[in-house]
Amino acid sequence: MATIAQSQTQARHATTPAASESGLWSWLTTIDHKRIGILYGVTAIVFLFIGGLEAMLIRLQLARPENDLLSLDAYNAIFTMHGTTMIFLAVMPASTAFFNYLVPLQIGARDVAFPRLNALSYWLLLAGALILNLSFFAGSIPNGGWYGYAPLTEILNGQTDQLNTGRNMEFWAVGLQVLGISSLAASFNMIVTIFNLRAPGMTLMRMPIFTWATLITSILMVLAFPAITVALALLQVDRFLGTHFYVPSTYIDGRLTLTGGDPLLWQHLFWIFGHPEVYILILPAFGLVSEIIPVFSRKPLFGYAVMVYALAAIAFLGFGVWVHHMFTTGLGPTPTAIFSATTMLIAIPTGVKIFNWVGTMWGGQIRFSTPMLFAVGLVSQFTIGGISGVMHSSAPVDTQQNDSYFVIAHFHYVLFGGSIFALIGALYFYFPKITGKMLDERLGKIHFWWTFLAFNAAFFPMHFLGLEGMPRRYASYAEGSGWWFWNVVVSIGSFALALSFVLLAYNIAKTLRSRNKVEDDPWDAATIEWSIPSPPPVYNYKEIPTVTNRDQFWADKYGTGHDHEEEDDLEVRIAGVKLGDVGSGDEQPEDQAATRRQADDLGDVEEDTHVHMPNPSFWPLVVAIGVFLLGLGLIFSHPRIEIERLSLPVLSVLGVVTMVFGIVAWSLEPASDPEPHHDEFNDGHGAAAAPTAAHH
Amino acid sequence: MFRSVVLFAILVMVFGAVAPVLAQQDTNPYTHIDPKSPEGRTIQDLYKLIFWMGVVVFIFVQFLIVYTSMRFKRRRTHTSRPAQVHGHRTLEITWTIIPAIILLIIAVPTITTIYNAYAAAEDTEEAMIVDVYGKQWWWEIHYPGMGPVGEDGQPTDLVTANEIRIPEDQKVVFRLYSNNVIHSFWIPELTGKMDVIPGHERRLSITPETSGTYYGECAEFCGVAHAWMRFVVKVQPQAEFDTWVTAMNSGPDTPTAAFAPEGDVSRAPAEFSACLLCHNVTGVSEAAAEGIATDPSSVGAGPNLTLLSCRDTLAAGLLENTPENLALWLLNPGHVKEGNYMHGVTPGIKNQDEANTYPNQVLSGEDVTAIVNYLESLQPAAGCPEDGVARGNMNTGANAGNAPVLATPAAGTPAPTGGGEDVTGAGSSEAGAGTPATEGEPIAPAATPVAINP
Amino acid sequence: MATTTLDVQHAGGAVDHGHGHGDSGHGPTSTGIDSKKLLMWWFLGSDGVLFGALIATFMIYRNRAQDLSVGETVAGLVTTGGPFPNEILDQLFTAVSAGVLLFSSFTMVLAVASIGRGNIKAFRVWTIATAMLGGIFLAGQYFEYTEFFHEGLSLQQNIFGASFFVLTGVHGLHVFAGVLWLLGLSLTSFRGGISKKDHTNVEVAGLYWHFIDIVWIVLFTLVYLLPYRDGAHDPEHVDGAMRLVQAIPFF
Ligand code: HEA
Ligand code: HEA
Ligand code: CUA
Ligand SMILES: [Cu+2]
Repeated sequence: MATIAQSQTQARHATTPAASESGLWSWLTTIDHKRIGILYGVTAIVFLFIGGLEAMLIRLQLARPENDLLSLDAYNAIFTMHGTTMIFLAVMPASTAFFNYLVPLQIGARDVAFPRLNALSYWLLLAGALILNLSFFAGSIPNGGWYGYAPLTEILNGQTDQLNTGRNMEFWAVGLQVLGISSLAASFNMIVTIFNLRAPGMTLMRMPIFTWATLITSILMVLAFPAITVALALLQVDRFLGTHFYVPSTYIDGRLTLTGGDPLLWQHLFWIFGHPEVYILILPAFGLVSEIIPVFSRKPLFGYAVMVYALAAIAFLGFGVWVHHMFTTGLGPTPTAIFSATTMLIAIPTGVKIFNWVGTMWGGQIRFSTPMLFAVGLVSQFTIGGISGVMHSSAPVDTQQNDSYFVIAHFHYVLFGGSIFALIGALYFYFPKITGKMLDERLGKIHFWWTFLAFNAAFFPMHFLGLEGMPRRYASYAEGSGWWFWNVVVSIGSFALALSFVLLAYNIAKTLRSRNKVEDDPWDAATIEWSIPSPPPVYNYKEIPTVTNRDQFWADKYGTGHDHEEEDDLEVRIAGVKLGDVGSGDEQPEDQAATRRQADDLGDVEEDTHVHMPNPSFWPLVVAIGVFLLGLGLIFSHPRIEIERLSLPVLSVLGVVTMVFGIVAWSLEPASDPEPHHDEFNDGHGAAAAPTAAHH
Repeated sequence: MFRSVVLFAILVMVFGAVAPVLAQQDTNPYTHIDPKSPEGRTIQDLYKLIFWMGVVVFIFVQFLIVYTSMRFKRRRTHTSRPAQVHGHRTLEITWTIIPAIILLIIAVPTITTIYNAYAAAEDTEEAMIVDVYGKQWWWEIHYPGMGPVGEDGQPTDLVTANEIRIPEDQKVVFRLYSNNVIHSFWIPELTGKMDVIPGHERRLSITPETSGTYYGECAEFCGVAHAWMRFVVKVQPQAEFDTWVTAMNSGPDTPTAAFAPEGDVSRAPAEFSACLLCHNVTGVSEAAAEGIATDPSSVGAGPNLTLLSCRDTLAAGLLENTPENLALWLLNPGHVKEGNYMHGVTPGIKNQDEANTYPNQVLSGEDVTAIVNYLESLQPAAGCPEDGVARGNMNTGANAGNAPVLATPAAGTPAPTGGGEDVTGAGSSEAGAGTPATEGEPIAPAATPVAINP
Repeated sequence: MATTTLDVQHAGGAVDHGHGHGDSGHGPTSTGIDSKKLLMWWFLGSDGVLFGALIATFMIYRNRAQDLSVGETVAGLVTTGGPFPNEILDQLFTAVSAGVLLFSSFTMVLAVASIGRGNIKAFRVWTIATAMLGGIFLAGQYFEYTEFFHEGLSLQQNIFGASFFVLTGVHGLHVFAGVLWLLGLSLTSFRGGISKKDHTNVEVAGLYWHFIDIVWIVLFTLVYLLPYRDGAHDPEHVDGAMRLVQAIPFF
């Protein structure tokens, strides 16, 4: 025991000061999940504003017929960047911000399973985001739409041998590839964290529902992203090395040659990723709303188990519907019919969620604080988007709606009325947790109603534009087309909507500057992350909590009352390995006693600051810089751009060297302690640790 | 708070009420609410079914939310926590099954419609076939076997561009091809869209019922000028259609063709030979194009210009077809329609930026005048064939906001104004045809190019 | 000691140690599965989808080059031409190299077993053997590629070449990464940096190695064993092939 105490003291000296530092360096090297969460969140907000600014340009251009504010090409670039930014740089990072910040807190862990990998995920996100947006400065902005249909991304004009050698789509492809790696790394981390770092007693079916949403979303990412990785890789092989995966015929040596490539391959690969992707955007939002509604209704989530199954069902079905984005490609009646049917099926689990949320509110004592307003806003507005989704799911009907503003209306209702509503609600909800300060409630309510009205003014008329046959991605339209009126309404609504974000920004700034601290549990919340100080200390839990209930913190505050009629036993086994304890609401008394005892012992050992936290690390950032340079190297060395050829070795080689250097340094870096003899502690088994010192 | 909830409820009502109303009456040129073919109507009926189901679900859910919000608000009188209900199995099963039933009601007609649509497009027995080639950014239309007899004694295709004529009450199967990027062929008023995909043949069946003009557009993003890849569909009585076919096949032979060499419109002026590199005009003497239009792969690179002056629009729906606009186009095509490949005919101009900066350097103002006058004279002697236009030509609106029309002061003609209101049936082609506004005096190129899209 | 373990699980356990010493798995995790191992399992799941997408691409295109050649013979069109798979694939040669890779799975098992027993020497032998077998496989692939280039099948030559090289190339890269990993492990063992407690690290490498072996079995079956169509010489397929060819407009 002596050694342990000793090493813990060392650990404190070594790490605690660094971890509580606040300089720039501490942010660059942080591996604390909460700080990384904040980094993700701030990045997401910045890009939400950038994407929003792009949306404003779109709306300005379309506010009158034949506008010449933007050239055709500039418009194409702007909507491509708007879609790409909003999806990959705003909503996904915002969700990941909450994953990072909340999940370890919710499961009673001190960090994620692989903190440095976590830092790497963030820095890669930033690298990808910078690569994408540097295109503005390079003057060749991605302009192929957010789903970049081949062969537009590789040939300019099939009638001659004009190839699309511009760097526009290069920025896009490389940027997305980097973002994909970032998302994959983050998801692996979350999955392992959730499976492995749960506090004692926290069975899978006792996990807070947001943790479930995180788990399922992460699994979706892990299984969906490889498809776009392959799609992009083939695209780049086509562009860099002259293969023809996506081009059926082209000029080779001046002769029009059949090559046999197929543009539909891109569409399949993209949408096999792309449809799960839209659920990646909405499931975290569902999770957040499922946290908020019970708290403000003072009732547990209605049908917790069914809510979990519904999440899983949506995710599972989400892999079997991708062809609904290709209903107009003429794949033949049977695939079209099958995918029509599977798409419709998804409405069922989603409907269950909607009704269960209402069921949660039913019979409750509802407080309409701002988070609740936004959460209920989602239930109401997402349904509109869901219903238009079901209209698309009927393939014949979709042939009139596909690629029209009806689709634009659909997905802004689910993305804004769904994801963004939930994320804003969660921002209000968790702001006290993260900063210790409460956003202004009065402003918050004004913000909600403003957003709600402006949102509907901006996006509801898009349905009418769709019915009037206005195609999407039109930089300009004729006055006689009859689309002017609703476009004006949409534009006005959009600007009002932008103002609502200014209001939010004002609220945040005002609150951050104020000195009004709020108590640790301002909302009378249900889950354990609210049982610790706000903002939480670096190590989160002084003492790892023992979990005996789903809404543990409520149970602690109000007792359980033994009314868990619907607790479900669930044993999750994968390949014979038990992943979850056989969980039920009420633990066997002996078990409980045992776990509690363990926890108590732990509390004895630990004094306040004796919690051993991993060291900050610089290497994730170095690796990300390497990837960033390599990415730029690839972009600027498109072999078909002769002049740029020279820059190939320089940037790319520099990138590879930096990356390899970072990885090697990373793997040699002692993770927790600069002192060699720390290993005794880390080894945990108490095994003699003498030999380990040798390899430093 | 209560007021907010009421506001919410009112909004719900407004949506519920406004949407169906709007969904019922629509006279816009691109609407698909009021389809003019059986194929379109099947889709619309299906849409209506789903729409009303959706309205029911919508109103039910919104009502439930508002009702629950109002009824279960927290009150001061609440001292203890509410009953901690964790779920209700029967209820949850109910709201799984009811949506499932609704979806089943939607799914059955959906699936039959899918099979019927594909079967109709495959069944060409009674149908007239029209081949459509998606180009960047215009449409080439072929009527297989309806063109003049070729050298091998077989009838060739009748070829035209951006304007499709089809007979009334005749099932037409469109076969869609592309050799460049993906486009999508969409005539909202007639039926749903179908993508035009390189390496695949796609089909779409339409049986138009009512004579008139319909508007088509490209619905799949296909590059720079995707927004200006429109077309017109003219549905005519069979007899009128036949007259048009005859006129197209005999080529232009108007007697007033003063600008053609020796007054013979079948002989193009020398200036026109450059155009023949990419464009074709049925019936125009090969002699004019001698030694030029030899590369077969370049044939079809540009729209077929037969009876050009009888069409409504230029540049796939961008400009009204007037001599002034034609001149404008020829002077600087890249300027009028950003990105289009005709700017490449100007030597030394490599890219869009340059094309925007310099006017066309190949053709002088005089050349342009000659070509415009020649093209304007490309008509049958009996005048342009009937085009059955019964409705406003919305395309005239296209140029209202476009600077180029205003940018030819030398043309001396007032800029056409918005044509959305032009519902009189006066086809713009008639207005411009036959009487070149510039008789004699050359149309001077605009002194400085006015950038539409700076 | 139990208490410390708990602490490691939730704090130290959160640490992703550098290679060589310790890892997150020293404390009991909620599932009892080591975190690194769990990470590897999910990575392999993801990688499996990656190969799935590549395999699907290959399956779509495996007969395409031959089919197009019909256009050349029947309609006189310009096509990318051969070499076609039937003319070029050497099943016997690849069967041998596949055998080598399979055998390396066996040596990998031995390596994992020896580290479990704490027998560093045996571990070293088997790890290096595995890496070498992987190296032989890669050499075989290199030989095969150069042979194909020689016979005119390049990445750009036709769509079969493109999908063949991309699919097998990505697998080759995986093998290459695995070889580096194994060499790294044995290198560390020479420096005395590997002991019985690194069992999990080796096991994780083993998981990866078995995975790329299994993938190769699938690839070998689909790329080398499954029969190909014969293109222009294969009358049965002329109809379908002609439809493909005619869908491409030539002006
Ligand atoms: C958050 C993201 C999100 C979500 C959750 C959804 C959800 C759904 N989407 Fe959406 N979708 C997008 C984002 C999303 N979509 C995007 C971004 C695109 C466009 C991509 C692009 O082209 O750029 C798109 C496009 C898109 C298309 C292609 C349209 C086209 O391009 O032609 C289709 C077609 O079927 C579709 C269907 C659906 C369906 C059926 C659902 C269902 O999951 C909805 C289910 C929910 C409900 C139905 C409401 C609640 C249920 C009830 C109250 C029960 C009772 C209801 C009934 C019985 C109807 N979506
Ligand atoms: C989560 C995703 C998301 C979100 C939130 C949004 C938000 C908005 N979108 Fe987005 N949109 C997409 C995803 C999203 N969009 C996608 C995927 C596409 C398809 C792209 C494609 O076809 O490839 C698309 C396409 C798209 C189109 C169709 C373009 C076309 O096809 O031609 C339009 C048109 O109106 C539009 C409008 C808007 C508007 C007005 C908002 C508004 O909600 C924006 C609100 C405003 C802000 C969030 C910023 C507010 C702040 C300011 C402006 C303040 C000033 C700045 C500072 C103080 C620095 N979007
Ligand atoms: Cu052609 Cu869009
Ligand atoms: Cu989808």
